[in-house]
Amino acid sequence: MVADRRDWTTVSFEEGREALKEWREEHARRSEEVVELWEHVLSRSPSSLADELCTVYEQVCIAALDCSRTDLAHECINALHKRFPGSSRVLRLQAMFYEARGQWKTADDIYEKLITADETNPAYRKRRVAMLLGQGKRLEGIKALVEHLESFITDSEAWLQLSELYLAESDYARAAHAMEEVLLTAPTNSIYLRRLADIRYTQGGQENVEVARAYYEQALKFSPVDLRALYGIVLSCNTLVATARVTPDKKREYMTAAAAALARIQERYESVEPEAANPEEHSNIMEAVRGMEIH
Amino acid sequence: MTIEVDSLPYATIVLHALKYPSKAVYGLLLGEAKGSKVKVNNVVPLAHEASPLSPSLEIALTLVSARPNGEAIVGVYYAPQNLKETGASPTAIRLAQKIAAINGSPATIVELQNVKLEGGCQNECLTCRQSNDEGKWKELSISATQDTLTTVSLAAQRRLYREVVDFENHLDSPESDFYNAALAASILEAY
Repeated sequence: MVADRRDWTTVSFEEGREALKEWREEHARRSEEVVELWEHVLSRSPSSLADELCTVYEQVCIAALDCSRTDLAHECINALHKRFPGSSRVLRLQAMFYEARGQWKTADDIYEKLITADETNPAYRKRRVAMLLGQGKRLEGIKALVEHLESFITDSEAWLQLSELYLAESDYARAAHAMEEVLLTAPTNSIYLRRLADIRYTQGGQENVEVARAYYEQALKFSPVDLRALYGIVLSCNTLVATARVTPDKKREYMTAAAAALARIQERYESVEPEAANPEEHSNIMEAVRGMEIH
Repeated sequence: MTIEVDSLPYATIVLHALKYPSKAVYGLLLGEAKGSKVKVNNVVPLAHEASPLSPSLEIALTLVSARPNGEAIVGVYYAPQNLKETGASPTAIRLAQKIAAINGSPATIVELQNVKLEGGCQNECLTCRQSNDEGKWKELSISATQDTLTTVSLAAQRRLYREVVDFENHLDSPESDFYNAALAASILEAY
């Protein structure tokens, strides 16, 4: 894995190439670093990138737009246009260029054309949703996304985005439902399981917190040292113990589960090298975690 | 009401937002609140998403308020996701209300105006809101000294934003210090 760095200006060509490749594969949005790597390292010898060159141009172009570096984006689009005149993939970059400059209508016209030419490609429709969100039109964005999902029901990226938008509207029930759809496409993904648990916990009420706890436990099965899921179990069990209608049996069960999760949290913190970052705050955290136990 | 934000927290808020240019960011304000006078001496970065959910916020609140010699939590800071967006988010308001309930006194929301960061972070970019007794939010500007503005822009120039750790980062790797002690030293050293 590529290590985190503070400075990408002095890495070797090969290291830079590797980093860009890794970020492409994991869809990381590290635009500023991509631009830095390109300008200081890779642009010295673009032809050495051989087959990768066009993909890198595309990556750098999108990163440059993200950093308002329309000059650099323009260079990339020109280079790609020379190699692939009339390519719809390049045309999409051109439209994103207009988006970055706030020329929404021009961008939208291009997407319209691209959609007519290729009805089955979801990417252009999703750009239109992104464009609405970029303009702060959240409700219109939700509407467009719901329409998109009617045709592309298994598009988990779209469901994820929809869930996030409902959260911004404080509509937890719909956000949870969208998250359930994401989970259908990847039932053992611990991040999705935990996220759904977080939403149900936030929604509140005994029933939702019970569901949250079950999802946290499920998430832990696939990712046993996930601190967030462990903390989630502590929080939801502590909440459930305090509810009025809890039976003695249930109460004992929640307390045992919370204690077990707390023990694992402590274990995780104990594994941190004492001189790691901030020893004083580290021991404060340990102390506070001990204080979360219910008696 | 008057509010004062020291150089270090001012710079940390800006750096946190710069680290996540495509996201909203949230954090806690630490300091003193006496009557209508608020002084922010430090901040604790919490999250980087548009609508952070309760669990990690609750845990962070518990950990920060349990510090034996820690400063009081006096409010929340928040930077919106979109460049031109302004106005406190529902999450920021809920979090501020939670803090107000714990403290038994009004909490402050400090909001970053993203557009003001253009041109090397040399301008005043924070505004603030506080709820009054009727539960209405009152808006106030925050003035910054020249020293503060220089600290902020030097820290941004030196790309110290890459070193900010928020509570979400800490949950991913408990090795990292969301109180940002090392970053604080670098910010003050850069000035």
